[in-house]
Amino acid sequence: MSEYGGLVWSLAKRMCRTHADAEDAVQDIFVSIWRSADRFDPNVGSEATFVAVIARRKLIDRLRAQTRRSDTVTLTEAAPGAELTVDRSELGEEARIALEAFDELTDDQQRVLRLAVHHGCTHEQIAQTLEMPLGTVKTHSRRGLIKIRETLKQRKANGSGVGTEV
Amino acid sequence: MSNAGRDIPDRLLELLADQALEGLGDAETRELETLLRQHPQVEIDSCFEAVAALDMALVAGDREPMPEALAARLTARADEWIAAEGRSAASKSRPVIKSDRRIEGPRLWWAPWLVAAASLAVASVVWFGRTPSPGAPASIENQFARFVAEPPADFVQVAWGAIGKGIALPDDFTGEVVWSDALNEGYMVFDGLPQNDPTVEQYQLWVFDSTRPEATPVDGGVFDIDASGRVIVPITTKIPVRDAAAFAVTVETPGGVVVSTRDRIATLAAVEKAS
Repeated sequence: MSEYGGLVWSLAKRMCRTHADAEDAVQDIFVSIWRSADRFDPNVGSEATFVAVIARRKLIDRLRAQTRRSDTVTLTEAAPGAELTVDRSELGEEARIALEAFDELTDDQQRVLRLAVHHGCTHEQIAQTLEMPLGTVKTHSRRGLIKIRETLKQRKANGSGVGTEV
Repeated sequence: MSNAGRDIPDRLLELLADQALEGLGDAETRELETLLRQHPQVEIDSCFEAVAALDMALVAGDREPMPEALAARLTARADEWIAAEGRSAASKSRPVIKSDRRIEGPRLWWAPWLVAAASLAVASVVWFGRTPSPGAPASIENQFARFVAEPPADFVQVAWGAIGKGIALPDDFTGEVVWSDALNEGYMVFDGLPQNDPTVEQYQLWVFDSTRPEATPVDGGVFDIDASGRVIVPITTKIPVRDAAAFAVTVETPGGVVVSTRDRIATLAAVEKAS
């Protein structure tokens, strides 16, 4: 918990509307992690990714069960390259590869994915925020994510060390 | 949309991506399930893993520590959960008592020990499991946890009865023995057994084997109890135990004895056989 508390809290805080909701979500996530701990396979992915996947699933479940976020996301937040003041040397292998793949995406794909992943926005909210047709938003988010997925799979197949580093 | 030459329909990838990004409705979930059945080679978590990896990268720049109050609540909840899970795991893995190990009424091998005890508390079989305490060495904790979580077919789990002959035991003394004849492996858990001074005295385990004379129980070795409260002790018998009927802990001189006078009996656990 001490190792991933900050990660889970940060993920929850961004995708929950209130502080209290984020706290509830974190507790749900950790209970789920404890219950699923025996399913962790270090050959498949890192511990951090395992935790983040569970967190993502739980947060999406909560989002779908609640009224969707209605906050307007500013275009500054959605701008390509924004918020990427990340020290890459501190990232785990999978996160670093994902970020490299993200950098290769088109600007639109980056904007859409950042809003979807980092801000927990729905396709519809992204369409409103970026004034894009809904279908275009879906296309950008899917293509961007699938590209990142393929890059991760290729690196894993090439034995890049994915799955062994937290 | 390219799927990099893999035999995965684009629609399946779209649904996996949508699921990881914002979840699916009922109809889409059913569609995804149908497609996954048709393409079992697809790693269903792959898009979630991609999102999670990107999420970790994007959040890295503004990661915040968890609030202390929340961390404290979670720690408390973890303790509750671990305790509850331990009980649950133990109840799910109730020991299988071999029917051919029935003890007939008059042949209570450990009866003289019980009779000799000033305060006789018949050990009853209870089913409970607790996660090892931080006080025990990690490797022993892990071995014990694995043994309980994946019990062998002849696994037995017996509570210690508070005998306290010649040694004062606290009222809240508890503990258990878990054992397998087939593996000759087992662990003792003590919670509240008084700390001993190894230079003055040591605890010694005796295992009563129904296939051997009662007068010569199997020496289970000496051990010490520290101040940590809850202690897990692996059982290492000097000779193989074929059919454990009872476990007794005496207090002996440092290094243990070959034959116990049975003057000081701390606790005893009798294996209740299925009838």
